[in-house]
Amino acid sequence: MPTSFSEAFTNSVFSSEEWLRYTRHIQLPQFGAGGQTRLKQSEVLVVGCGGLGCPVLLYLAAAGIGRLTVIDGDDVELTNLQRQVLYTERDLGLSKASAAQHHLSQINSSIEIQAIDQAFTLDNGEALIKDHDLVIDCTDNFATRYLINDLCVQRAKPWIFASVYQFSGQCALFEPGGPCFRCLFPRMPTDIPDCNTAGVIGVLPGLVGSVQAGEAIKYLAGLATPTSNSLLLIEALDLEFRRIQLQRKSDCVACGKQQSFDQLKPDYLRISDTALSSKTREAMLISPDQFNRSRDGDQHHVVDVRSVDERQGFHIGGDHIALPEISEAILHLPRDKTIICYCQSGLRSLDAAQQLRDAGFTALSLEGGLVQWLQHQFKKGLQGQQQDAL
Amino acid sequence: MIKVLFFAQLREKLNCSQLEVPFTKSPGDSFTVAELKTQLTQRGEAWQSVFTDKQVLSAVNQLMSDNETTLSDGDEVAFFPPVTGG
Ligand SMILES: [Zn+2]
Repeated sequence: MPTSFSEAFTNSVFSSEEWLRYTRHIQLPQFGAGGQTRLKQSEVLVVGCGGLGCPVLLYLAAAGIGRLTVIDGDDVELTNLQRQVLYTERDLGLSKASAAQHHLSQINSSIEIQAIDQAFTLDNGEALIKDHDLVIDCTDNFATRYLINDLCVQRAKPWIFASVYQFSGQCALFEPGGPCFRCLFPRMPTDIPDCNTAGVIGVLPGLVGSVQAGEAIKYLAGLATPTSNSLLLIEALDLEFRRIQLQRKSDCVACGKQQSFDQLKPDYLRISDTALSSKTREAMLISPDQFNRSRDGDQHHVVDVRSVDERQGFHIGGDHIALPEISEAILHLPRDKTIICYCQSGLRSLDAAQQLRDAGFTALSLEGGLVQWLQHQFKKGLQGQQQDAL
Repeated sequence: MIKVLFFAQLREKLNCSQLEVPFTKSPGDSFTVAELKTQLTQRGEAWQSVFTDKQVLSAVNQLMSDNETTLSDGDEVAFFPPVTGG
């Protein structure tokens, strides 16, 4: 950067390099130098840098937000690269927040970017929210969203919620004094599948995250934001959008009548939205490591319960009996062996194992399905031996 | 007619993104979101499970509503669940 050149001009908000870099914003009539100045003076906290966080961070860094903080406790995994466009294959195994900071600083070295390689929790959340002008929720679970909401209500900070599922997305901007997230979703959802178990089309978080980034930039620059106190419903399959006006609930536990913050705390302890952790289910699970030790013995019989398409796409051996056919196939399965079921992510195989147990079999389900098994194999560096093992 | 829209998982569960139901009420009576839900549950098992799920929210003419919200002929009712992924 031509620092000696920019030093020739003092008392400017922007350096000469910045003034040139943001030309397209400054020339926007609705935006102008005033809007760009407000972006430079803004401090934004991005919670989570997965599918939504990647496009949000890319656009906020490029737009010239003065200070960005990104917090995420996860590492970059191979399954992330299908949609988390900030990362490269070289980032695999690195912590997401630090990897994000590395790439973002190469996009815009004139802004301040801080990475925190931790999960956003009650312990670190309050100080972080206090220290920023706007919070952007790019998490993948309701427990963290409730925490962001309650802290933002307490501290009178605006935040932007977004979420994605398969082909659908939601986005809303919650402003102090307006309806809050708990006015919209008073109950912690249960049994709602997330992207890890239900899948998501890679471009969807890009679409929804871009909406989120756009709302953030307009809000900070002082432009109108249609998602203020409104929930945008996005359907990527049919390309349909609906905006629902939200209403404040007088009996809301977060923003309504006097409510003690301590009473809300139990909600944050629920890490996962899925109801998958009961003891009986845990007893039915077999880890990838145990699976590798058991699969070849004559005490076990492996069954792939996925669809024909998935089976043809990739498999690791065993019988193939799609889940809907499992009850009919029971007659042909060996009763003297432990049946080990597997599927893509471990939900259907759990269902199959339960059905088999109900029919008197000893049955297990491969924990986390093929995805977790493959990650396990990659971690062990066994890629080359996979074919031999079959 | 009432125009009924479904979003997110509901589209997949019901295999339906929108439909129209006749606006039926006796004079003096009111037709509420709750009554619309009851009517929709009669369409089958999947509908029964969706419309007895308290997590499913509704909006009438793009404004958040509840079970007691009354409907008028020509209204648009949207049903949507929470979406949690990221
Ligand atoms: Zn509230």
